[in-house]
Amino acid sequence: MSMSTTASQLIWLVPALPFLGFVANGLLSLVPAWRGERVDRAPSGRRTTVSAIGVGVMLVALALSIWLATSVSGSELSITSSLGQWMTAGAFQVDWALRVDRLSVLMMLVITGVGSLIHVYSVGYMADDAGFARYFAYLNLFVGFMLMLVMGANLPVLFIGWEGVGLASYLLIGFWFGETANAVAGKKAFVVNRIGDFGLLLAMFILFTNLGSLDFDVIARQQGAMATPLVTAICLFMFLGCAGKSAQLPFYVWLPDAMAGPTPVSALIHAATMVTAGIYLIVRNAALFSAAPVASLVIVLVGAFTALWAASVGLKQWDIKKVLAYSTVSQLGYMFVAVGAGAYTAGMFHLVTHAFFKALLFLGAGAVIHSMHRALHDAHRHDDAQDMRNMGGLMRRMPATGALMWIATLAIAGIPPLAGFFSKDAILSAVAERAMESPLAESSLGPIPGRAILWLAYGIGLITAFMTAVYMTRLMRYTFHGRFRSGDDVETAVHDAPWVLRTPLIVLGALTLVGGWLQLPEVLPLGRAGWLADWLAPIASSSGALLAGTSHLSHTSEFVLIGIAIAVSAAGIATAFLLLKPDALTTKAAAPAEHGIGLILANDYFVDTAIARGVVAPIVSTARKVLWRGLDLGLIHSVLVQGSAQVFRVVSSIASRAQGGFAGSYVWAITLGAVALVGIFVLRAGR
Amino acid sequence: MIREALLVSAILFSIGVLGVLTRRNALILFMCVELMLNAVNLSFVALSRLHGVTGQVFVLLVMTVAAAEAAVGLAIVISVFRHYRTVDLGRIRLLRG
Amino acid sequence: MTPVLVSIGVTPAWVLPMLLGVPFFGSMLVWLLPRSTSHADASLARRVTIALLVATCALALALWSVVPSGVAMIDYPWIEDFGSRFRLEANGVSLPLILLTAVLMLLSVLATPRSSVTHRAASYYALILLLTAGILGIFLAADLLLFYLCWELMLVPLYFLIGVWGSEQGAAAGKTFVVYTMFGSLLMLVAVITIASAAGGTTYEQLRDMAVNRPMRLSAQLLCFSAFASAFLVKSALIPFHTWLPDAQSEGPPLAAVALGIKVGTYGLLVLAYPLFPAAALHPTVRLVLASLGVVGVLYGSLVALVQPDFRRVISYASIAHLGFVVLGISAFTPESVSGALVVMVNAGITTGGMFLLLGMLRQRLGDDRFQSLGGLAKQMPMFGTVAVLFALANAGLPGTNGFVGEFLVLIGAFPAFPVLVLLATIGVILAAAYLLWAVQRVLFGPSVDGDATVMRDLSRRETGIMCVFVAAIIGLGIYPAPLLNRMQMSVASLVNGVNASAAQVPIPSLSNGGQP
Repeated sequence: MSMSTTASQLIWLVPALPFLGFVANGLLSLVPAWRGERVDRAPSGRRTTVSAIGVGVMLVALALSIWLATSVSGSELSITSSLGQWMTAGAFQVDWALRVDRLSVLMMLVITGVGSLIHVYSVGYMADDAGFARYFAYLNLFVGFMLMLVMGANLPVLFIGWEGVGLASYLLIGFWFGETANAVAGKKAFVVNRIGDFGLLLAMFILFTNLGSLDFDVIARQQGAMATPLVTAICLFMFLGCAGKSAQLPFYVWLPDAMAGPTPVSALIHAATMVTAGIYLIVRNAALFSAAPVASLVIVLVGAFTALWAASVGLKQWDIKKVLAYSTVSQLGYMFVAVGAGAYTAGMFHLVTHAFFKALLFLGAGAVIHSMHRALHDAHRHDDAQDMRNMGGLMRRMPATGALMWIATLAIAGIPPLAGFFSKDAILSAVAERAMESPLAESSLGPIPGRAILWLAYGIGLITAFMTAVYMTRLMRYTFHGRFRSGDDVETAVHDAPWVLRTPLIVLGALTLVGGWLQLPEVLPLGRAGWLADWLAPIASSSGALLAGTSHLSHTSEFVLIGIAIAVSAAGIATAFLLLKPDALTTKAAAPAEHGIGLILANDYFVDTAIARGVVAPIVSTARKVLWRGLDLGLIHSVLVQGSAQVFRVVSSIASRAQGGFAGSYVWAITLGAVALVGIFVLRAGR
Repeated sequence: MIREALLVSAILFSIGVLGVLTRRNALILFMCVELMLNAVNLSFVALSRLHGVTGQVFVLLVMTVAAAEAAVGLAIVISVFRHYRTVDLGRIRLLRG
Repeated sequence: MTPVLVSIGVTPAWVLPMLLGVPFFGSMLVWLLPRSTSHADASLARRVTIALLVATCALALALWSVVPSGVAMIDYPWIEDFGSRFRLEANGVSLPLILLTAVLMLLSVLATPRSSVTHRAASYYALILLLTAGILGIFLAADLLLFYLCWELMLVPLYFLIGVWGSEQGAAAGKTFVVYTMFGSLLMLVAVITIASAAGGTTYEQLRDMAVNRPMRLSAQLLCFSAFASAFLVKSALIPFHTWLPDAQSEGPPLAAVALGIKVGTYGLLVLAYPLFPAAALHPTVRLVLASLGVVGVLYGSLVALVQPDFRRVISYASIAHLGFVVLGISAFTPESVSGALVVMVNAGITTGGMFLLLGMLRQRLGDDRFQSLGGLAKQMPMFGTVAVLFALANAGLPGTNGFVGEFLVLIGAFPAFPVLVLLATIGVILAAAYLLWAVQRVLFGPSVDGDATVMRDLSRRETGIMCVFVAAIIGLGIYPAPLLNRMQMSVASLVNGVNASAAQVPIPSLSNGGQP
């Protein structure tokens, strides 16, 4: 009892510490401006302070998260704490309430754990940058908001975190704002996210109007009071929010552009944490989504198609960060398929393992880019340090990085016993299980039966797994194997990652190796099965059962599914080895133009052009021509305002003709008027 | 007695009005205005027989105002004449709006 | 008749008349100061003005702290023949706006550097004080005649400030502003006379009494309500009566732009038009029309803001969009949406006011704030950049800033009444992010237009201090709006209930029986 009371008094510290770090580092970053100096590189003394603050708050937050995890692991399932009133008006009341339960603490561990590693990595990666303090300020800001997102006890507090991470993302993507393209990418991310936020806001309005409260507790308990079409509407609007934040079709377009930011940012925000907020939201509101099978089926469909779409584009990207970006979109699609099918545990499992190996991939890519950049700079070349056509055979110069990235590649391709295999298999098996027999399969999305959708999702999942293996292996082959394509002078200047960059990679590699043990399937005698499912059971199991039913796969079926999954992954890797010809590659500058399907894939199906021409340009030109020039300046100002002034001018010029200037006419007027007036009075009095 | 006085007053007033309406010479106009004022004075005095001395007091007021107005008006006519060399009201359009 | 000084609660009775008197008589004092164009005289006028405005702020703060909830009022007899009394009142609805006005005017004067006003400085500062008195009078008045006088009083200094101390097109902008506002005021005067004669007096108490006990016919109420509403909506720049605002805010000095951001029009709508003509205000068609105008304002303002050539006009249209939210909140008329509307009014004053002052500081350095001549400023002016981004996001309603609280309350309060309109208005949230961030990007990010040739000074200590006040307000009200909201609760509740009760007495024809009044 006393442990939980102390815990509830202290949980506010977890998001507060990173915010303090933001304020401290932010003020430190403004010190040169305050003093009127201009610096090109932060002095090392200040860097130490900034790093200490930035990394320090993360480690303390991590420690607190671990402690809170132990607090909720027993019989006490959730700890809440209300910090006071936020908004009160009429019947509407929302407090600053935080809540730690098994789901949120899982997210908190991922955020603070992987986040701390990335902070440490950043100390090395950003050491030469003038904006060192500003970077760490933004990074801490992000973590603070993300923690608020997962710890909020009601939707508005979650929404602060939700939009706040969008803000931090905007600031970090456009970190090197000297280049317009970076600032544009940041703005694009924020605006597209906002489209999703529109959906989340409407879901909140509908919920409040019908339930009178926005607390997660109340929503979960009382959602049965709402009719199914209403719940479906709420879920679809919420999913719109998730699609914006977690980059699902068609709102994923900001994620590839977001690679303009520093690579650790991509690792933290666009792989491990911010983009997973959508999954968290759905699992948090599992009670709602499981009561709306139509919405869940929509999520499955969108997730599946996103996974397929993004994987296909990843096959033809040459920038290593872009490959990873599309890979993230694709893997997020998998997670949505899982939570859409009601397999909440599987979705969260993949979220956690994906955080490990994707962060590892991004950080490794960052090390590669860092080294390539330095090497090219030293050789006075200006080639693209991120394009894999300029690389090759880096395994010789960067063995540690290469080995660790191979671990991650095998994980994402789904090779046992790495974490990625277990999580991907969990998802695919869950989908197949539900496709065979479940209440979800019995329901339908319009005329399409749920069973068809689930089997389609399963099939797409397998094809995507194949493509994932192919493009990841392609990435590794072209980057780390074969011959180096940018010349010997550059090659000798390439060095492996220094210790400050390498240590987080090693930790993540270890997590990737053992992460699968979080949720082992029953059929494999590797250890205690279903640990994560048990952990999340109080939150997700009843809702999951609504969609999944009580049937279970037989052991034979499970083995078959596992076998298919491994076969597909292995086939993908093999295909990549057989069909790809790294020796035929030339550097980016000398590369031939793409054509045919390759051209379409390399340009992401020309989606960006389509949106720019089909959506943005018409809106802007309508605004300019019709609304501004046409209505504002034209109709309202010229016609109505100037026009009415003109009317007065005309009337007055007509009327002034009566003032001829002849005194005689004035006298006549006076006389006639006087006679008329007197006449009226006389006649009246006479009557 | 009163009736006759009022009749004379009315005749004088009408002559004055007709003159103001038809004459174009500014000085003649002034004389007609004076005629109108004096006609009114006559009717005031006549009616004061019935209604008390207030009418005669008012006559004094009217005579004062008439004198002042004549002085100012004739000064204006002289200024206009100095500039335009005519007192024909048909030719002067200074009050044009 | 002996003057009656009434004070409810523990407010000393002299605070209210002093609040009006200090700026009003202060302006006359400044007017009498020596007026050469020398530096010393301008300086003196400025210092006296700042002292007077500080005194006003102190009084407003005293009022704020001493009136936690409830009402403060003073009462003097005035013009018996019209039934008018000189009555001032401060309640939960007007108090935040009073404090906002006092603080904003003080900060605006502090933000104008000494050097920028040398031409007739004493007149400039006197006009500012007169303007402050006018705006405060609008919020403090508890008598319709006094309200109308202060309403008109606000116009004169604004016209001169925009016309004389603005840019070259300032005179034309000022004229348009006056003509527009006069048009509305004229209609309002007719309605004032009508209602004053119907009620036999002009104090709010008498008028409310009439509205409750002897309500006018529905058709008369509709006419009067339209007259009042047109005046208020023109003053607040609701579509389609809005074209004067961008010109006035862009061509006038920053201080005028800040003053125009204080939404006196919607205050009048809420406090006068609604309680006095309840049946008309709650008529379904009227509500729908007002709400639709609000949503049109949000969307139209946001879309046109996308294509403006300079930052000041973008912010002008942004404030038109905010106004759309206010009108939406008022027309939905639930306690939540009305509170939200009031919060948006306060917040719009803070965020647009702060933004205009910031842009004014930029203009002093560069002389030009069209987008095509700006770019890459964040490199040389990081503090400016930080503040600018924060203001832009507060304008866009980022949660954690004050802008979010108001807009959220309006939308969630209006949703049960107008679900489709609220959906459309929420699209405005997306557009706000788009146009504000685009404007910020064109000014702050990317390469600088002349390749870093001009050296730009970042914010000075004075400017930073002023901006810190705004930043504190934005974040403070975003995280902890409780002082503001709690103060409003009681007054808003009584307002809403009162209007609903009086409206119930006049039968509003339903749409099915053909609308017989």
